[in-house]
Amino acid sequence: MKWKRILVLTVVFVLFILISNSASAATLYVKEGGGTGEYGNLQEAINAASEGDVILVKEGRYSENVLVNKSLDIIAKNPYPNKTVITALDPEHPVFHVVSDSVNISGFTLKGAASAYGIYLDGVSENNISNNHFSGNWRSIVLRDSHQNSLENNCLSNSDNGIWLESSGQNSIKDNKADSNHHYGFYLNASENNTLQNNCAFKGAIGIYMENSSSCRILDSETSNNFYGIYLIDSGESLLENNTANSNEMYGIYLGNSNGSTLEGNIANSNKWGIYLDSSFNVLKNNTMSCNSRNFGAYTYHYTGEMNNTIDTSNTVDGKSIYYLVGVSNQTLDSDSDAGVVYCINCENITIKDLFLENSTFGIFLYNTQNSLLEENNILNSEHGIYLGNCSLTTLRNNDVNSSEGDAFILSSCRNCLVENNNASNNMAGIWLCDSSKNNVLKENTVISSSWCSIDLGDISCNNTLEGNTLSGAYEGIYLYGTSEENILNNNTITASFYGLFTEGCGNNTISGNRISENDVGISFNLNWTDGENSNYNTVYNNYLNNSKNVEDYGKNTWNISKAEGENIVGGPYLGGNFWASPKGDGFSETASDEDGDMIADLSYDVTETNYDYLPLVFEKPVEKTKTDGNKCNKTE
Amino acid sequence: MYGKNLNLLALLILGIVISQLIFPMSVGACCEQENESMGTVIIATVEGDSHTFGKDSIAAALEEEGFEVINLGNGISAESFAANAKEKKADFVFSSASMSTTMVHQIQIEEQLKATGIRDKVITGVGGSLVTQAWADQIEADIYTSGPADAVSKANRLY
Repeated sequence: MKWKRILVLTVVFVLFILISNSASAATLYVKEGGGTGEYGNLQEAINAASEGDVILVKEGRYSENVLVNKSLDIIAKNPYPNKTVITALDPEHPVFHVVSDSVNISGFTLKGAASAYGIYLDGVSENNISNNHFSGNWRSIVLRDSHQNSLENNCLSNSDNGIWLESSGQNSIKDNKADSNHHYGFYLNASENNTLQNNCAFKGAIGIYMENSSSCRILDSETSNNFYGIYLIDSGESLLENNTANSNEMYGIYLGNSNGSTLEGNIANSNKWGIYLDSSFNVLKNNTMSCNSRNFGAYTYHYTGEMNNTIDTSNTVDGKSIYYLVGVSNQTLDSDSDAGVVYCINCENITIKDLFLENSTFGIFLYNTQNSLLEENNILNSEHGIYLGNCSLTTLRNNDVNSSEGDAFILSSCRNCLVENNNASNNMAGIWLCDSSKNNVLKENTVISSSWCSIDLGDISCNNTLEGNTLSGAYEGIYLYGTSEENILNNNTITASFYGLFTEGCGNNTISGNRISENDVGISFNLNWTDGENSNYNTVYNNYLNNSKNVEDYGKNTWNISKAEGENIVGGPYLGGNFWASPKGDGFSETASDEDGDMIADLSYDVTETNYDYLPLVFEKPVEKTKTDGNKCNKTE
Repeated sequence: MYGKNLNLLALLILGIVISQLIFPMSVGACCEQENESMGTVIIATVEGDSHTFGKDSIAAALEEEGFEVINLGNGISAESFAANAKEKKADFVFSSASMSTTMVHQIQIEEQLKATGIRDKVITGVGGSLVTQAWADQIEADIYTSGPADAVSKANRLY
């Protein structure tokens, strides 16, 4: 009897539990204006609901700020989101503020939170936001301190931002479309290990932006017609796979300080920059870059960090392979390689020749690479032509670089390199030596039509030799700045520029044997206004100067050497000062007297009020036949 | 002839005296009005960017025009832009970014001003070597400035 009673009680208890459970999954209805058994707004229904209930919202227009503090399914009954519209009653508060786990919100149009969010997941997990349309919000969906949520198949448009994550990890963000948002389509900050798959972001400032968010995956997504497609900063160990980033105003894909990331199978076409790395220890495979102004780029000048990436030739620029060599020795790359861009990091004895390269950030980039030869390459329409960083004993010979946005040749922290017989035209600048580049020789190069300068030496670039170069059509033919001293400028021809030679705070250079003509100003020695350093103690002799204004000298410089035997620049038998001509033919050297016939003027030339050429050169006077003696020639007076 | 003019002069003096009684305004007050600031401007170069020339030129031009200019310098975070704008009750927030990788901070400034609750109270301006009107429109900055004269002209128009 007692056992029977226990059995009955047990059955009753089990039934009670089952009934209780079935009661927790009740369905509550919301209808615009309310009605029998229906709530007039969502908040009333939520207040009345129990954990696990379903709230079915009938089509209509609601105006609310809803607090969801229970695990509920809040579902629009009509499958078309534009039929069930919830507008923020107060635009400074979210339409849905979710503070409970396991909430599903699906099928709505949510708008009008102009100073807040469409849906705000606030410190929650296991929520599912799907099939909603958002517009006119500051941020459409915000996750803060929220993990393991799913955001799927939402349309996010015409807001400031689409999906915004802060300090939120392990979320799944799939099949969402962000269109015409002012700022970010997808924004992640301090949010690790999230997966973004098959999303689209169009017509925003940035399609997908990740900052300080490591180990995230961006897969099968499209970011096009933004200013920036996919932009990662401080977000290492990311995986970008099978994404398309086309027609973005700036970068298709950019990685800044996001080390250890993998990019595989991505397409970046018709951007300004296709894929650009400012990161290291990345792996790139099978990425395609075409029709970008700069297809591929890694690093910029002055960069001295690690550049140890694994980038194989399956990556292509306009159909040609990227060669990214790290630690390689004794290799030749020529036209058989079909190289589209070449990087050599920590290499030795590399020969790169006969390549035609165009539309990259750098056509050829060498860093910490020694004993190498770059010869007969032709680089067109790139940001910069050839870059050598921290290289030595490397030769650049017979290369052509044309139409670069920046410099044709850059030598940064280079030593004992030879730059010889190269041509550069229509670049911003021809040859730039910077960052303490020393003991290099720039010889017999031709630089024409540079929008800035033909050759510039800066940042304490000393003991270099510039010899026999032909420089024409720049703002400055040769520009020395940043305490670049003890350089030799010899036998160069500088024409048709505003300044032939311009210096800022650079002294102790030797300038001789140059033909500087047809410029507005021949030589200009100036103070460096930022540090007060003047251009002093340069030695200038044996130059031919024929410019609108031959000299500006705001320093203290020497304009002649002691008279010495040797053929001077105008054919005279002695070296001394310079030849001072003028476009009208009435320059000092063209009119000065030379009684002793040594082809050095009898009087000194006042270069400025405080600088003098004591041994100005003169022409040998033209000779002409006299009527009295047809066989003898006399000097004309 | 003279009598008529003297009468007119007396009437003019009387008018001035009466107007002073009705609308008293001291000389000092008058000058104060002339010296009144055209508005307060927060200006700086964004985080990660050390280019100052363009920003300083605009700052000088705005100051010359009569704006009170608070130049925060260079490498300034979006949070600092917003905090200073709020603290100084700025009317304008100008940011300069001269690199493709620092322009993104101009978005952050817009966001941060909104987060601080003052976006509607300030006029934002953006400039920099790669910055364009299209970029300003995209991020909803109020002013794109191509240089000092442009900044002054647009600031005057909007303030």
